[in-house]
Amino acid sequence: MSTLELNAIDKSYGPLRVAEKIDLSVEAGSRTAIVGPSGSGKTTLLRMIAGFEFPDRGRISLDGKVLFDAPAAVPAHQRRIGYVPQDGALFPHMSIAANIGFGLSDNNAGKPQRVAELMELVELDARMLKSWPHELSGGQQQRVALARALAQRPTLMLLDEPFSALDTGLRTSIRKVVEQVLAETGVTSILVTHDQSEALSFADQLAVMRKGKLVQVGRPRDLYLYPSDEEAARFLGDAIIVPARLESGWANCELGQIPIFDRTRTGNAQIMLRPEQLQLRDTVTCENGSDGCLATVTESDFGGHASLLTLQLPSAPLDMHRGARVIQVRSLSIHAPKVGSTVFLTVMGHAHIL
Amino acid sequence: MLVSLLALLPLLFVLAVAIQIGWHTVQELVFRPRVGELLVNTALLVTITVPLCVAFGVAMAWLTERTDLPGARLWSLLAIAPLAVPAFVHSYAWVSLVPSIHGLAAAVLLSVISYSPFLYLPVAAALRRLDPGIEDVAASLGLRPWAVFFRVVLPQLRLAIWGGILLVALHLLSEYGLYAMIRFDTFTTAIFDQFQSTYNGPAANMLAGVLALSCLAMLALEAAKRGQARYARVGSGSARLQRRSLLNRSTTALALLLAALTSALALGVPLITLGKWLIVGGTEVWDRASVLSALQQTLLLASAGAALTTCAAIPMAWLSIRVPGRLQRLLEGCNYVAGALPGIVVALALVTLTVKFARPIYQTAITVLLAYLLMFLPRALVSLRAGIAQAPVELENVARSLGRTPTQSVWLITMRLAAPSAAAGAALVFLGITNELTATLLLAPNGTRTLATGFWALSSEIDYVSAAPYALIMIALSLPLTWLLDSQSRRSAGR
Repeated sequence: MSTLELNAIDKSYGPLRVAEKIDLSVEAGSRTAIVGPSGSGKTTLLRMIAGFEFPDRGRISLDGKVLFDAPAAVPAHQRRIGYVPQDGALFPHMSIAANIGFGLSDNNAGKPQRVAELMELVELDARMLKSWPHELSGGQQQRVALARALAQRPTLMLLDEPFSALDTGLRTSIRKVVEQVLAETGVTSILVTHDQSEALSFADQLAVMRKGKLVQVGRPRDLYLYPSDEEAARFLGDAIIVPARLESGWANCELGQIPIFDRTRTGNAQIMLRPEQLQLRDTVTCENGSDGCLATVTESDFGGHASLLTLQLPSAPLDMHRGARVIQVRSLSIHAPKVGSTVFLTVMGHAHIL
Repeated sequence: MLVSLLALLPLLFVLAVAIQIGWHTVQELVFRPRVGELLVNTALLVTITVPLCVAFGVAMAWLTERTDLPGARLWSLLAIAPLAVPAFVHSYAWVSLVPSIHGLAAAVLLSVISYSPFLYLPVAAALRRLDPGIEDVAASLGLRPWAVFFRVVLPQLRLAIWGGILLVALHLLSEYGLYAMIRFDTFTTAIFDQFQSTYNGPAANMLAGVLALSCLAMLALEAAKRGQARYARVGSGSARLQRRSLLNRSTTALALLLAALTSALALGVPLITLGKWLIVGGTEVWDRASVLSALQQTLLLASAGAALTTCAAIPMAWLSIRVPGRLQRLLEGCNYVAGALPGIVVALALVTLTVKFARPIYQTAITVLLAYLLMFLPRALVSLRAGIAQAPVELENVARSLGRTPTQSVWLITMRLAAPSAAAGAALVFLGITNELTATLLLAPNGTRTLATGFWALSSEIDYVSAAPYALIMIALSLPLTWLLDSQSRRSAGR
């Protein structure tokens, strides 16, 4: 069963279209990440779901109940949708207990107990209940914000870049806590982020947004390996994109012959590989005749655990290229070949046709 | 919205009067030697006082904020303290000390004493906020310290200086008590005399028109001078702490002398005179019931006025922060214009209007409160705006997502967070009303006697002894104002 449905959502600010014909459905209990560069309209989309802003056209429904169908709109406070903004937005004039209990009605006898439960859920010490928001660290504030949003048992939880204000180490651990809490409570959630690795690891369903449009929606693994276009490919990670000639299930390119899934495609096309599909071997150990190509290491940027190698391919064997090509590959620093050496490149897995 | 339209009343009034009595009469009333004389007087007063105030304010601000002047914090408080003394009390103190004091020189002296804090405050605040990195860069580009001050620091203070100039100029134009007491004729005193002799005659109204135009010209001049340049720190990251320049011994002595002399003139004289009259009067002057009843009436009027003004400012401030738009800016602008108009113009407009259209409220507390609302709304608005701007809209959103209605969200979150600013704004209005003289004199119902009008009546009868308690109470009520202003400007600089 699908819980949240967006149909043909349009929204403009003056001449600027921030959402264009957006269709999205989110399964009950699933985690969806909307990812896109800043200014792509992802936060606006989230705010329209929350009810802080309204679309110009389109329809939003949650669990079969219509939230928006122009011009009728359910106001934000009647939607029961939890919301955790970027910096937590705790009420600075209220204690932690008052913040978490804000969404609960005052004459609810079980309120203190519910607040304590929530504190435990987000792994915060109950002694902090009397503290003030400014006395907490960024990570703790984010946990309180999550607990506050969970208090009213929302059917849907919206997270607007909730980890971006935290430093790198903390970010991962807080993300784990959030994932765990969401899994325990079974709340459907939507995360908006510009960090593709965060989105890839968080989501069951990933939606890539660009210039107000959803470019591609699907499972994170599928989007990573089979992006719809070059821009989406590069946004979700490093990509090597080379021209190739397709023929009966093979792509012929400078890197050699690489298998493709679609046996029917023929002719010229762009293919995409993720750098981790490339393997470097030194030329001595490789037996002749195996499929691949030779390349020269022209630069090596040491980056701790891995180094970024710049490889120069020899002049193109086929007529379709203009001169030599350069590709960049990461390699474990301890195995990294020296600048000037020649290496043998082989490709694992299939190539994706763009 | 309604309040803003109300704010336009004084302006419309001046226009309406001009149209009603016809161009010919207007010409006759406006272009005559008496008006020319007043214009010259007022212009001289402004052109001499303003540069003096600027020099004074900037020098004191530099000394207290950016040098190692001994006791800088104390001097900075003393530099603001003259604000606690209403201008007409300054005047009273000097007149009773040197009875022969009068004319332009006296007017300039007293104006500089009373109004230089208006320059000191914003300039000192701006100095505190300046990014010392800019000065370092200028020095590294080969500028000498003096050149750094004039080419880098002073231009950065432009906004503050023009803001201060505007305030001082508007006060010079609208002050009545100060100049009336030393018999120096300005537009405002002339309008007042005219009004008292002919009551609501076209002559007074036309003079008010000229005065209003002068004020608008000041506003326009300030807006034009503000320019397009950016004065906020460009770039992110937090600024380093400022370094204070070291003064050598002779400059320190000179600076201390300047500071001490100013404080003596601005505070010493009122204190000595007041002290003298209070001793002469003994306990007897306090016994009269009139002091107590004046205090009661003042507190009543001032609290009602402050409450009314703050309530009126809340929706406007909220709208201007949350849904800023052209219409909203225009409405807000109207209020600032009305607030810049002299009390006497506002008062005359309300007299005429109530006499013509709303006779029942003529000479009632309602009209007085209305005048206060128009005159002091900008004070409440500025404070509230700053407070609401500091409460992020995201908090309201979160509250709504937690099931509170929009009104509840604004009330529970934004207004609660803005409460300190609202209170500060209300306090400023309260104190403004406490020391207000002109509009109260013109509009208050018979038998009303506030501290200011009571003081005025007694000192006009040269009963300096009986007037002293009124002055003392006004100063005591105003002292928190200086503290409030000081702490506000410090907080805005992040200290």
